[in-house]
Amino acid sequence: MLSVTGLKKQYGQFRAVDDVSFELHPGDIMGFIGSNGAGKTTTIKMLATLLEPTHGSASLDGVPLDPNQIEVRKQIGYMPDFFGLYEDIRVWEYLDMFASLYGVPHSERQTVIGEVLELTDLTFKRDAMAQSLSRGMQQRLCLARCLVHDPKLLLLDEPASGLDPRARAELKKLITQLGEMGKIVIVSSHILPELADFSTVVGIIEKGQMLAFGKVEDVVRGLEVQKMISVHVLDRANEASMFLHGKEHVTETNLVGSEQLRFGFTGTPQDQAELLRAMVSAGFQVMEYREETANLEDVFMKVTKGALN
Amino acid sequence: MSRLKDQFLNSPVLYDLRRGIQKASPRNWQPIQAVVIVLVALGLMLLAYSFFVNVSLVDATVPTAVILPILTLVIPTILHATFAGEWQARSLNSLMVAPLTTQQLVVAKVLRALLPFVLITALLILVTFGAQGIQELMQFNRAIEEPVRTWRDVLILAPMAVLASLTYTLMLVGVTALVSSYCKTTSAALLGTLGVLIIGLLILPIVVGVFEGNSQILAIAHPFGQLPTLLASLDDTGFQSFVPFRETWMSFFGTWLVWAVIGCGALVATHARMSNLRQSGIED
Repeated sequence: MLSVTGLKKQYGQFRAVDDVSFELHPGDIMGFIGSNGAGKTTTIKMLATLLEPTHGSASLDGVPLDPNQIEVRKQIGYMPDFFGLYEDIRVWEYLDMFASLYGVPHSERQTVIGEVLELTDLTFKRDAMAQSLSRGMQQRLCLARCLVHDPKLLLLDEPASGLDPRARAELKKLITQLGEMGKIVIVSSHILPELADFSTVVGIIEKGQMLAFGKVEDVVRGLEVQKMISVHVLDRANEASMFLHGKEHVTETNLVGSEQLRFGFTGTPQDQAELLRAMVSAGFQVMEYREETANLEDVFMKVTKGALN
Repeated sequence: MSRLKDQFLNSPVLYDLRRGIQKASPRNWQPIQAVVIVLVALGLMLLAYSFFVNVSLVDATVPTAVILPILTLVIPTILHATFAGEWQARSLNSLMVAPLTTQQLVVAKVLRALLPFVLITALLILVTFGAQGIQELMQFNRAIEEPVRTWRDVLILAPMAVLASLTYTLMLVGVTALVSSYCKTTSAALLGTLGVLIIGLLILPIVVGVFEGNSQILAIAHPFGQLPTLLASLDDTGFQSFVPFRETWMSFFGTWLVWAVIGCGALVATHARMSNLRQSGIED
């Protein structure tokens, strides 16, 4: 279990991370969300033992994540937001080097390298020069490097940045697999819909403070984000919009096109059904009437103020 | 056996040395390495030339005089990217989270200098002992009356030459690693290291010599300064007559001790720099 308690990082008067606390269990994939400068990377670096916290602590299965604790690093896989590969090294040599650094016995290395290459779908590039790989492959190689010592905790800082849609989809699949393998995964990203696809837990940080943390559905429910209802009519969408405007529980209406509109709704499901009946009675030919589920983006926009640290 | 192998041959501390050996392959040579290799080859040709022209000149001090400038070029070329290269390639963070102590990290990085040191010192020993052996052979064939030095002289001079080579290498390693730990690009690290060496080995001794008007200071301050002093102190009667020159001995060892202290000090400072980076974080 990863336990983070009152983590703070202060540079002079500036608080990069302010009293962050949370707990994660094996198999949890945490989507770590925040604007640029919100404190995501600083938090991840402290968990990776790259930065010493000013206050607070973090531990993995009871072992402190302290820069002076060398052994605990064998349980951590850290993928920085910006990373580089050596110019003159082959894919397998790169993994072999890090396996050696993490104390993987020589006799086991080739097997381990084969396994992580297979997991990251890079077996066919085993003998290629690391720098000749595409950006997506380099990203996967970096992830393979993080896995070569079979860590319990994976810290992935913006792993999808700069990837094309196919590479992103592959990465999502891989991260889901890692969660299923029982690893604790923390993934920071700006691309919220992506995080929503595989995160089991979400943490929203702004100005160094954790504004929301918990299971994705709990966070969405807990924040009581306003319901949005999407209506598709055969025609007269403009008139339908005017019809809805001023009705009880309807907060705002937006025309999406000539046949579609959206509106905010604060009533109960019964009120929602009653409103549909009223629309049909008024002669509107309703093709579709559905509640849009709030997503991470809605939650993020509601929780944060867009303030930079 | 495999456990022993993992502890030593496959030790994480040796990973950079292993990479260094891999990189030494000619297919991986960079232009700057090619230039240094050409210069080293020229140095060795010079040594060979002196050997064939007058074999009696080749004792332990002569190869040392050739080898020290070679080391001055080779060590910074090999080690300047030690930390700066990692920084430039944005791979330093990945390395810093590895389960290595800062001491291991620094030692692992500077161990790459072991390879050129061992090769160059081996060359020094080979030339010194080879020349002595040839002189002994020539004496046996009555081609010369007697060798310039006795075996005992050579057996004492050769370790001194190795000591000189070792302490000088240590100084170069320390200075190069320290400069590299402060630079974010390899070119800045190389220029910085060469700049420090030019100031320390050329400009500073000259300035000190001019202001002090004392050639002894210049001799002590300069790594090669002791070699002419040492040669001048040796006369035809061999090593026996050299022993009473206590002052020469003291200044000789004093100089190399100074370089060893500078080297160790620079490595300690490099360690402090990397520890500080580990605690305060690395800017990308």
